[in-house]
Amino acid sequence: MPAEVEDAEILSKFQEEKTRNEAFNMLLKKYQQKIYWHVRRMVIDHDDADDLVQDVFIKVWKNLAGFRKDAQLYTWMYRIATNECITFLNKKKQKNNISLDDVAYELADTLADSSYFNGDAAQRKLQEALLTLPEKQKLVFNMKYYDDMKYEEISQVLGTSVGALKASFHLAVKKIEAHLLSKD
Amino acid sequence: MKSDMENKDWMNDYMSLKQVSNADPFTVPAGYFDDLADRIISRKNLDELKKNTPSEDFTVPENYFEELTANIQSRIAIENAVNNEDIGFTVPDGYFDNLEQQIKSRILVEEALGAPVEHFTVPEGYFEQLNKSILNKTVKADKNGLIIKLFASTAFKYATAACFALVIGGGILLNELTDSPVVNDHKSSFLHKQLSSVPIDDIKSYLQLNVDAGDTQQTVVTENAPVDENNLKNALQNYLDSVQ
Repeated sequence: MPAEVEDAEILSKFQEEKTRNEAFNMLLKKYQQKIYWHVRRMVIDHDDADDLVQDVFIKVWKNLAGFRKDAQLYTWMYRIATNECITFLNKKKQKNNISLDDVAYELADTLADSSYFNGDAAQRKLQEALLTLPEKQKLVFNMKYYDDMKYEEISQVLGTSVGALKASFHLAVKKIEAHLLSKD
Repeated sequence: MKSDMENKDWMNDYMSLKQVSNADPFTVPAGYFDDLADRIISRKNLDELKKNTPSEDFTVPENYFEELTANIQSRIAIENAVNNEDIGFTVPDGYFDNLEQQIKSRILVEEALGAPVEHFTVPEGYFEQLNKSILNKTVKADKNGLIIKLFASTAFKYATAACFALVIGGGILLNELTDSPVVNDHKSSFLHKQLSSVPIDDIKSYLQLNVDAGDTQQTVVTENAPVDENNLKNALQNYLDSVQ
């Protein structure tokens, strides 16, 4: 298995006109799945996630030249992906003239009908519990639970303080635990 | 992005959640990630192409749109001026006021004088069927009509011949039985027979002295009375005696 390309190399090659496409290819191969799963957990539907992932990387291509190295590359891309997801969900809410809670119900239906879900009953129940959470709590939980990200990294993605993130995460986990313990 | 033990420890406080697998429960279509990078690059290239391609392939002269409004207004003014210009011809006062009415009236007159408008209607397809209907009635009737044979049998021929024989025989018999009346009916013939014995010169002389053209005609026309031979002879004898 080839060694993972360092972000620094990708960024360096991207600065050169001749190696820009090569750098972008390397970036795609390194992060496409991470970005996809982050988006997929938010929008549930595969086709929606596919569209959003492409949108995310188009934005990355357009803005990578101005990327400041004071942040990590993947947190910067996570931030773009998160914003795309939130924009998408808000549009969905406005288009259907429904509240975010109703969006959650719709996503639950999507989850139930999805042919691309092979989790067990406990995992399905966990996803249903996640759909009941506010978006920010859901984002925090997903990045912590599935991606094992540190609060500092999540803070870079969401632009929220570590303390606030801890509180959000604590609330999210308690709700999820209660949902998992419930009989229905 | 690597997790550390500190970040994993929080799950010890939530046993229900800890029992749930943290593997991603979602799946993707087979081979999805194999070509995801290619599809994203294709989309990126397309996006760049659109970005680098001018929105319009056509160009306009410099300051075209700045001058367009003034040009249009000038053109409208010129068009109005041209349309209002006197072109030299005139029409009677009020000509155009009642032109439409005149044309309509003319059309009505033309229609009235032209081919009469048929106000009656016939069922659709009537004339198409009419010819066929007539032919059916006539041709079929002729074919199936009553044919009378005048000489249907030999008995009729014999009867006809017998009738002719009776008529001829009857005629001969009647002629024999009515001999005198026939003489009376043909007095002129008998007169000629009597006159044939008188010399022609005597007859001419008699007629020149006693008969004019009107008498001759009268005599011929009114000669219905039976001829008396004795009187005739006497009259002739008297004439001859008076001449001698």
